[in-house]
Order: sequence, then C-alpha cells, then structure tokens
Amino acid sequence: MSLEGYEELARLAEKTRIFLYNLIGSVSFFVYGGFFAGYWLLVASTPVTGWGWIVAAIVAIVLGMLLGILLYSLPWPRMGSSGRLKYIGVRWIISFTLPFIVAYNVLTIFIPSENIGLLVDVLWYPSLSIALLLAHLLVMRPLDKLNPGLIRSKPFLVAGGITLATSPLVLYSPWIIGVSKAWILALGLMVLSYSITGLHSLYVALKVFEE
Amino acid sequence: MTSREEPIIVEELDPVLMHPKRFLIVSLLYMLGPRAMSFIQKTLKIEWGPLYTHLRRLEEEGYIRSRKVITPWGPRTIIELTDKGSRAYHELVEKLNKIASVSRRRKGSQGVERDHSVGRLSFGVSAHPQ
Repeated sequence: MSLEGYEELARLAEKTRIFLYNLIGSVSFFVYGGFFAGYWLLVASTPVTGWGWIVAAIVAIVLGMLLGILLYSLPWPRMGSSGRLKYIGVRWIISFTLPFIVAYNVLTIFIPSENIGLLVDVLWYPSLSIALLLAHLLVMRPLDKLNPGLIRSKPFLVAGGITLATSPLVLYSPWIIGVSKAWILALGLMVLSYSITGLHSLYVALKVFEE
Repeated sequence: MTSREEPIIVEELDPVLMHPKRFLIVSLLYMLGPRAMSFIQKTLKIEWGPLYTHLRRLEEEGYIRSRKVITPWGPRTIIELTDKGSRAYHELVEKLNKIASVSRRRKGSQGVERDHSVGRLSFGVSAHPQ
C-alpha cells in the first residue's frame, strides 16, 4: 500500500468512527422517543389511577434500562478502555432519576395545593428536560473530553434545550386546555423533540463525509 | 513546506503499523472499538495464520491487548487497542497527513504527475513493512 493509501484509509477510518458514534445518538433518540411514547400511551389506555402511575413510572425506568442494555448489546462501535467513563452507570441513573425525584417530592411541597392536581401530570416534562441536560453535563461532556471530536451532535443538549424551551408552554397548558390534553401535549412535544434531535444527529453524522 | 518546517523522513514511520494488514487491523479497532478476533478475520478476510502473527506482533509492541470472554455464542477472544496503540496510531496518522500535504503542495507547485509512490517521489525512501 502506498503512503497516500495509508493516509486515505486513516482519514476514512476517522470519519467513519465519528459517523458511527453520531449515528448511535440519532438511532437512540428515535428508539427511545418511540418506545416511551408507545409505553405511556398504552399505560394511559388502561384504567390506571393514583399509585398505578407511580408503578408505571418505576416500570418505565426499568424498561428504559433494559432498552439501554439491549441497545448496548448490539454490535455498535465501542470505546476502548481509555475512552470509557468511570461510574457511567451511576451518572446515567443520577441524571434520569434525580430531576424526577426532586420535582415530585420537593417541588410539589412548594406548589399551592389547588395547583398540584393541574401540574402533577405535566411536571415530568420539565423534569425530563433537566434530566437530559444533566445527562449532557454528567455523561456526554466528560465523554467528549476523553474522546475529543467524537460526539459532535450533542444530542442530549439539543433535546434538553428544546424541552426546556417548551416547558413553560407545557406547564401553563393545564389551565388553558385541561389536564388530559396538557399531558398529551407534553408527550407529543417529547416525541417531536426526540425526533428533531435524532434528525439533527443524523445530519451531523452524514456531514462528516462532506468535510 | 516552509524552510523552517522539519522534513519528515519516511523511515521514521512506525514500522509495526506501516504493514498494510496490521494497519488495517488497527484502523478497524480504532473505528469500531474492541472486537472479537473472528470479527476481524471475517471483516478483513485475513487467513487465521497470518492474523495470529500480526496480532502477536501488535501485542508484543503493546499496541493491542486480548482477553477471553464467554458469550452466549461460545468463548470469544476480544482484541482491544491499548492507549499506547491508540497514541501510536494517532502519531502515525499525523505524520502521514503531513507527508500527504507536503506531497500535494509539491505536486501542485512542480506540476508533478499524481502517482502512488509518494514516499519515494518526495522523500527518496519508502516505508519498509516488517
């Protein structure tokens, strides 16, 4: 092989590596968005009330983790030991449980009792935006420092940003359209934000080959 | 290349990585991360004998490490690029990029015809795979 051949192959390897890692981000958001939208619509179609929602939320966390394990077990590219982040499992769990625990246990204390009934069904939406931003700070940024230039699309920042920007609309909507429709609005916005994030990641991934 | 820039001597290029098959193996591991030996064999279509030889050479150099794991499909040998291997690959690629850019500039300014003997054309020596 000529020196040019080596150089071209190395360049292609680098681009393919970046493409594949950003593609994972894209696929994950499509999969998670679709999965959780389907799950919560199924739960909502059943006569579940009160504690049933809490059980459904715990099941959702477990299913989310199982889905993560399932996705991880696919033959995706993997980071070598130097690129792996310490306590990554703990970081994921903190990111996706802490905001919900704070919102539903601490914040509800400060919300006037007459408003709790209106907000409790949509409080998960701003919590999700904080969870996504926490995942960006606790997982994606440190991973980016370990693997510079690899995860270009910043999917958690994009999804977190969109959901945070639309949170005021969701939090205000129960007073305008009612609790049930506000919940559907939040779910719809979540799917849309995940789809936009997935498309953005896909675009960033494909752009790598144009450089 | 400006007169102050250090010329790159092709013989400085890592002789272990400058073997086409070993370069392919390391590029694959760099691209996809740790992989089973059977995956490398199937993907790169290298015979088992030469593959063992190349992997041993890379392991002796500390560029890769192997470990045995039990999977639902039976035992597998997983090959992973080490920090040293990753660094060596990066350094080599940087040097290759410099050579390529110098070569392209020279070809551009001298109107030299494009061919595939960049090393010999620009630097008088070519890499020697070992």
